[in-house]
Amino acid sequence: MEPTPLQSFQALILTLQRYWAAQGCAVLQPYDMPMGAGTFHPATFLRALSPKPWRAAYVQPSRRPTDGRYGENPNRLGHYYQFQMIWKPSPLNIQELYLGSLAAIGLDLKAHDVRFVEDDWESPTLAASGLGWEVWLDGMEVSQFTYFQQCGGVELTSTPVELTYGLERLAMYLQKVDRVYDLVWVPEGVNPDGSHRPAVSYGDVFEWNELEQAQDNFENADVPEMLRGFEVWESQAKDLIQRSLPLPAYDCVMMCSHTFNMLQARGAISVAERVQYIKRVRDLAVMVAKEYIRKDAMTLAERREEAGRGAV
Amino acid sequence: MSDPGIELFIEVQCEEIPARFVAPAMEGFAAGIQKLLGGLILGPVVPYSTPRRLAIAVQVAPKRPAVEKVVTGMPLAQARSADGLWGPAALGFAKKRGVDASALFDHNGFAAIRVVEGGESTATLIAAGLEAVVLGIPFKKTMRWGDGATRFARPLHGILCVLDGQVVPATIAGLACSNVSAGHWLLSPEPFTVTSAEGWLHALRERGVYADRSERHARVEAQLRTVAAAEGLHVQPDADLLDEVVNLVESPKVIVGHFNEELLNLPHRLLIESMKVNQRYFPLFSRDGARPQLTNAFLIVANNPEGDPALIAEGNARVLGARFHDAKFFYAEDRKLALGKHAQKLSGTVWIRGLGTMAERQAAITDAAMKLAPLTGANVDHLARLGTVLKADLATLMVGEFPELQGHVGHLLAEAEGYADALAIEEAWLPRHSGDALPSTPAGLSFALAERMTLLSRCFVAEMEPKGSDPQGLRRAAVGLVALLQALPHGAQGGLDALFATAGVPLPKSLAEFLLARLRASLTGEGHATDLVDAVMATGGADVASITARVHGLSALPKDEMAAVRTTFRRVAGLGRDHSAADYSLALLQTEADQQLHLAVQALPTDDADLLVALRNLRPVVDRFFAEVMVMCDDLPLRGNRLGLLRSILDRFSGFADFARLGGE
Repeated sequence: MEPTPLQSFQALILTLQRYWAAQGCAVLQPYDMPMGAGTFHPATFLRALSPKPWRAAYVQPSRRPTDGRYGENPNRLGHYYQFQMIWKPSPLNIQELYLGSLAAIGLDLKAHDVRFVEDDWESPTLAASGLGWEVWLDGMEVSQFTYFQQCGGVELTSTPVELTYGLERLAMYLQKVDRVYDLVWVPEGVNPDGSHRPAVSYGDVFEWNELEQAQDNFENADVPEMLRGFEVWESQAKDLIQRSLPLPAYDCVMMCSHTFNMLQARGAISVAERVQYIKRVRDLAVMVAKEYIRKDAMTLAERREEAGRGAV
Repeated sequence: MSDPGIELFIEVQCEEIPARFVAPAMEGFAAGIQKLLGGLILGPVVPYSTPRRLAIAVQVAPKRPAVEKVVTGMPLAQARSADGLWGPAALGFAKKRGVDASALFDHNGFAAIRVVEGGESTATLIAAGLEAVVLGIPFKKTMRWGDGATRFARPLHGILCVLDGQVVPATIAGLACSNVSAGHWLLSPEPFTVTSAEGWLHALRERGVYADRSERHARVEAQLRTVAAAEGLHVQPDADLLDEVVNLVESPKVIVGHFNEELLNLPHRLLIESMKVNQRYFPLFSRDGARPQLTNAFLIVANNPEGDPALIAEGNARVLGARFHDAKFFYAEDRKLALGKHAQKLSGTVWIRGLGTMAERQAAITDAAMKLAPLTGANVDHLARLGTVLKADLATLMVGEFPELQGHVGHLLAEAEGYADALAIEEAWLPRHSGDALPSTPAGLSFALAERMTLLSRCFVAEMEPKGSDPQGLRRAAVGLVALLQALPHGAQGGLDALFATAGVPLPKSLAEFLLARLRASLTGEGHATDLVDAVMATGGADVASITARVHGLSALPKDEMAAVRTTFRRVAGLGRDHSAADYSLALLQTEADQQLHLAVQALPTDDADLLVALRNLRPVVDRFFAEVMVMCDDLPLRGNRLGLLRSILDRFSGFADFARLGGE
């Protein structure tokens, strides 16, 4: 029998993917660059800028170098997963749909206390903000629920709603586990040849990684090189925006943001400098957004023409 | 008895409104209805609210009263044709008003018609104006949703609007009004029809939803008490938290939870603040003698009366476990380093851009605190030692994660390391807001004063005084400093100039003015008459405690006596103010009243502290003087003598109050 989200981490992900696929979402894969939150994925940040309808869901690893704890804290991770759903324009029944997803992963809502508690969201580096709630399941924040109002400094006319599920936290609740590394990723089973297949835990997959990444983030990452790296990614982003290439330019913005996060973890940025760095990333995000909106209004043929490549 | 009218009932249905928005929104909603219907309103506008609904019920007249009016047109000579019938001009006049010739009549020589104004049904007025009222409900923040441009606190789902049981045909942001409501979104989402507020309240109550906020408030409060009592424990009152949770639930159910007992080793302030601020729980206390002792039990106000209490309690306890596990981790990490080691990190932290590092800031505060020690009575050696770690907790993980624990963590760590007067590290932050407690120890008072004096001085010298925005919290610091100075022993500080000089801290003129403005605002804000405050402050002493004591003293006089004081001494000032000298000749004290006043002036105390009593004793003597002698008499030497006598009174009280500033009653 197929394991349920109460038994396995991957079953939780698969269930959410199936649920949102059934609502018409494009189920995407993680973006292949380091980022601090699923909102950075171009499927959210860039797509939100367009007036065109859009529904997508995906898992995105989030890297939070300062949250790393060498694998010693049962609740904190420097690398964890978010399940992200974006739907634009926001439908009026989105709360019901969201609650449906909780039911789909096996929660009997009538037995629990589910609440929507004010929590507005803001990303200073992305010049993005929104209003919404943190969703409480018996007092635990299991999701962030946000109606985007601004992105890349642009007021959005078609309002996207973004749902972010903290997968590890939710899974710990479902599996009744106190230590994230004890989460069952794959339950034990029997191979086709009858031999026993041991379970795979979250710790099997990530505990070693947490230790080494924390060592890097807090102790080893080369500060002068990263400071230089920030400058390089920044100038590259500006250059690409100049050349009207917002998509690769945005990749550089993500690298700037990640580099900044690493520098923070290394304690290499003072409070005053911090504000300056945030502003530099934000300025890039705003420039990318402007250029993206311009090109989003074009057809692919027009974009090809602008690229000097004519018709295919 | 007047017509009771008909009931208007409106329910705005939406997604969860932030708890802190509800009260001002309901005020604005009621005001909007008042404005729309004005004189048609026959009773109080009664507000109801839950996180998902804002509702109002009010008795109104069914329509605006109709008033008949005569409208005159042209003189009859122009209105009638030769045959005596109404001519084209009169017919045109009638047509423009929508009536025909039969309505025309002679009104004092003019063609006239009767028109009826008003009389519109209240339903029509509501249909036309409700959208503006609902969309005009004030929220601290509003948002857009879907593809619309409408702004509201959260997406609107429906508007119920019934007048005398009938749906009012209004449309709000594209939503047609209905007579349909629903219960709890999870437990009773099935729609039901509503014809009156009472029926709505009743239907919701049957579904476990308490839409009357005060009823819900009382239920939560009662449940908190009952459940705590059943545990043999008690809840400490917290009106703000109670108000917030009442706005977070519509079907309240209080459940008790227990967290792992070993977490009680953590700072209790951390546990309590985490429970209240992050989780909106009510911590439970046992009575250990007189002092309440925190226990590992807490109360949750859930929004699901039919939920599984054990499951909900377990879930909430897990959250606390996880949250406090972080704290345990941080506290353990922080304790691996001596506080002095944490303090070393401060030299790498910028305090305010351009104004140096946190280490320099700490040294400046300590220097000032030590110089103030003679004033506060603090032990200078203790101050010096504490000063090396005063801000050290800023570098701890614990304060990084829980900034509200700044000072508390430093205090606990310093205490564990055996620093004397360690509490002062925490008390340096007092008062945090107006009305907050003041430091209880001399060392705490020294740091609290020095903290604010140095902050204000540095920023004002750097011309960073607050203009609108106040990123450094200078207003709050000034208000705090004023409160600290008010509590200092009377006269000990000797004025702001002397105080700042004692501390070795520059006092720019702009800062002195800023502080005195805060003092004035604080005194008038407490309800002391503006003229008294100004009269006392005009003496220029700038000793905050002394100014405060004099204002309090004057303000405490019985109303009648104060009125007499104002009249008498304003007159003394009016006459004596412009006279050149305070001397007079005994030989010219002609009358009994002159002599009595002279004796009273001679008897004025030399000690400023006794001046209020002296003022009260002096008044009848001055009154007799004014009643019996003519000050501005024609005999110039005599007049000069009497003015000199009055001037000497003014001079003696010049450090007490400027009587010229006293107003009328």
